Amino acid sequence: MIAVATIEHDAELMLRVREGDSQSFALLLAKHRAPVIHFLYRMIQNQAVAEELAQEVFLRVYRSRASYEPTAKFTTWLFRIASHVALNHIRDGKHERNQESLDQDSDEGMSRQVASTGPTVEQQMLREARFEEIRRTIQLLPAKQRAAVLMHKYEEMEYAQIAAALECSESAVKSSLFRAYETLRAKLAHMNR
Amino acid sequence: MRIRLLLVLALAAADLWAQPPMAQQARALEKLRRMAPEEREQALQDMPPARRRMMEQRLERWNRMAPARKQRLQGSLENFRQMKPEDQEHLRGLVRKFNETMPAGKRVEGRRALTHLRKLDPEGRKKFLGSRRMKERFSDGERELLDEMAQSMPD
Amino acid sequence: MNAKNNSCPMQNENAEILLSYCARTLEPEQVIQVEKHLLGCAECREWAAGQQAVWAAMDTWEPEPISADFDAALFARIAATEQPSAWERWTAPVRQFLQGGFGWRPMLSAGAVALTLVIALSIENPFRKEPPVGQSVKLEAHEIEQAERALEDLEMLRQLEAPEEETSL
Ligand SMILES: [Zn+2]
Repeated sequence: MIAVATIEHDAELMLRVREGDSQSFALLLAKHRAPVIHFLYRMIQNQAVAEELAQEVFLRVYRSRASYEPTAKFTTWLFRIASHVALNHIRDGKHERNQESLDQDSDEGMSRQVASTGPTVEQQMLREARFEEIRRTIQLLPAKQRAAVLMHKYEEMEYAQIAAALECSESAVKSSLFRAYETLRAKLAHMNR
Repeated sequence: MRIRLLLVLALAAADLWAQPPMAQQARALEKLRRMAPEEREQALQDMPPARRRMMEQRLERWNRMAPARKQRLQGSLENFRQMKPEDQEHLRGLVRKFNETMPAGKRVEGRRALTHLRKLDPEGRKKFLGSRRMKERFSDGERELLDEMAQSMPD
Repeated sequence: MNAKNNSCPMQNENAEILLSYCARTLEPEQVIQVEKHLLGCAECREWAAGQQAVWAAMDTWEPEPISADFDAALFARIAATEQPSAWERWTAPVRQFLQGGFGWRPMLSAGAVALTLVIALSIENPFRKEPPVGQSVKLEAHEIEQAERALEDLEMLRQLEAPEEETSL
């Protein structure tokens, strides 16, 4: 019931944006900014690029306001745009060029965490190594499988929603998800045992 | 009717004048862009492979760029070309340092700061660079680098 | 979900329930059912343990903090795309006047197009002309070097622009 109320509220806000209410757009942005950026970050694994792509996503949302029709859940529509932007980015090969900055980023993360107070350096290093393994394993999934897993795990989206966002059938999403989790189980399951 | 016609002509002419004047390099780049892929391949075949790959990558990125952005960058390039050779080299060095010493996430913020810095006068720059927000995000050296870059950049 | 079936976790329907169980999205009564099954099915237990481990590992992947000026940058981009350029603003009344919907307008527009073309062709401006890509062109060796230098410096200048200008139209 709560979910239904939220959907209607977002769609209603978007309809107000269509009528020129920029306040409603700010509200939508405040609510969905983090999920969209986090999704893109985990897809691309580069925060700077994720933010740039997220700008593109919200710009597209804004530009589509005139033609917006609340036929699907707002989040589904939003993640369809976000998936499009991410998959296009990866397909265009812009992705590989960003990879070079990955190591720099993780180096920075490592020194920042090691320097902070709290758990011992060894614990921190172990955590970092694990985190790196997760990140790399997910990175190896095919882009569409990766998108499905990220929406399923972190956005808690239903199969039908993921299918609508990725513009494929529900059964295709399920088979993508199972294949992806199978890969992840084979590579990550040892970690928490 | 004659007035309208004159206005049309004036607008058409002004639209043309608004374009940046042509530079030799820009013409060479445009020629390269217009070539058929196999012709381009032949033209570039004598280049060292790494340099050639880099050039092809950059050309592809350039092709993908939005027209307005291309136009803006062409303008910047022309202004850059009008700088003294040693000033051009100095800026190249600063950009290298910027790319090599700052992580990607920080560079994004750095680029935003640069855009802002360039709109300010010396007094405004000093104030902005000394602001708490900037001090929290950038080290002394990084802020100095940004300041120097902003001052060395072409319009 | 058949406890006697050896390949039961491989069955899609079964795996879907198990997956939902590991994601904790099942209704309480379904949870009881699954747990009952897990007691008797080593294969499913193994599957669920592996999936839970993956789930837990993924939980440790925290997102990065978002730039504080993300919204400001977005609104600036929106404002930039909404606003007509200074030139367009300045000439808007004239353009409106010209688009007055008179009978002779198509003729006048055609004349304007033709004249623009004449001027465009007489003033050499490579960026303005945009002939079709793939046209036969010859490139001298020094021109390759010039193009390379242009691309190199354009790349540098691009890196100096704020990222929000990256895709602006
Ligand atoms: Zn079983």
